[in-house]
Amino acid sequence: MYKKAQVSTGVSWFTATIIIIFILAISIYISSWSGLGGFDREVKIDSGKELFVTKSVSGYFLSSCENVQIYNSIESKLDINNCEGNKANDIFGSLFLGKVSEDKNNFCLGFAEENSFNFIKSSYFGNCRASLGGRFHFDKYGLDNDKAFYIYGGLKNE
Amino acid sequence: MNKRANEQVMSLYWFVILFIVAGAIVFMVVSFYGKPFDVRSVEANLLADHIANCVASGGEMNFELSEINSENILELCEINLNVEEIYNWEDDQIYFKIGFIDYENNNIISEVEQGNSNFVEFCNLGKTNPVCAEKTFFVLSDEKEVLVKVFTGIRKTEKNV
Repeated sequence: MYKKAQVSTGVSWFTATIIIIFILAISIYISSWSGLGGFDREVKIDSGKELFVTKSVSGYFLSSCENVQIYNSIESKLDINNCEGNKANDIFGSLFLGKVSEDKNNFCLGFAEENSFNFIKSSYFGNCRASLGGRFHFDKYGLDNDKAFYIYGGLKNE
Repeated sequence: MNKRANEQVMSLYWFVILFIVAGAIVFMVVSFYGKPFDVRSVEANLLADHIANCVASGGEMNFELSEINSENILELCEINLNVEEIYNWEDDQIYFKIGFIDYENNNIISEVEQGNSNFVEFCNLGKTNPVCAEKTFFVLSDEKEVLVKVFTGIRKTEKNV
């Protein structure tokens, strides 16, 4: 009877040891796998703003369409005409391509009240509702009359 | 007597388990953090950003297009390609090329390059190959509309993979 109890206790400890070693082995396997590149160990920085877009916006504002400087034109009419829109497509289209989706049209330029930035409008790009998720670039340029010019690159809702 | 012997066996057992667990934790930490993080993509983008900031600001070129060439670009932009003190690396782990393209007709106005171009053909072909980035921005240069294409490549495979 006493020997049977001893055997039973021994089996319990043996089982406990096996479980401990099993859990450790799994943990070691996972950490080795992730350390060897199972997880993506590439460091990426997402600032929400892309320097090259910001630089291009400055150049775009200074350039001309139909002999009128684009900044003066869009500031006076608070809209984007065909010439300005086509040029924006040429300049910014490739900058946003493949960043959030493979759709070349996943960006828009437009106008909104200074503080209601999620609904951007212009004749050329239509209505563009900026999405908080899947955003590659978002920038605001204050204009007169509490309006602002926005450039948004990312997933958008028409 | 028998009880004391049992206690000694149990103490020994607990010490063995303790060492196994401690050893396993150390092994896990070393195997996870012992491998390097790949920062080459960040490096390539930072170099491209630095070049862009050097070449243009406020929508206009900082220099005349004829003023920039492969011989003076390192000095103009304060770039040092020889920054690694390991593996006997010199300035052969970095490459960059700046292309100035006429927006109107897509003609290349000029190209400027520095560094080791030999690894460029292997760019972005997998983790053990160099990481490269290419970015373009629009700028004005003396009323001329110019697309500036910045290509940067970082090798440094042994340090990052």
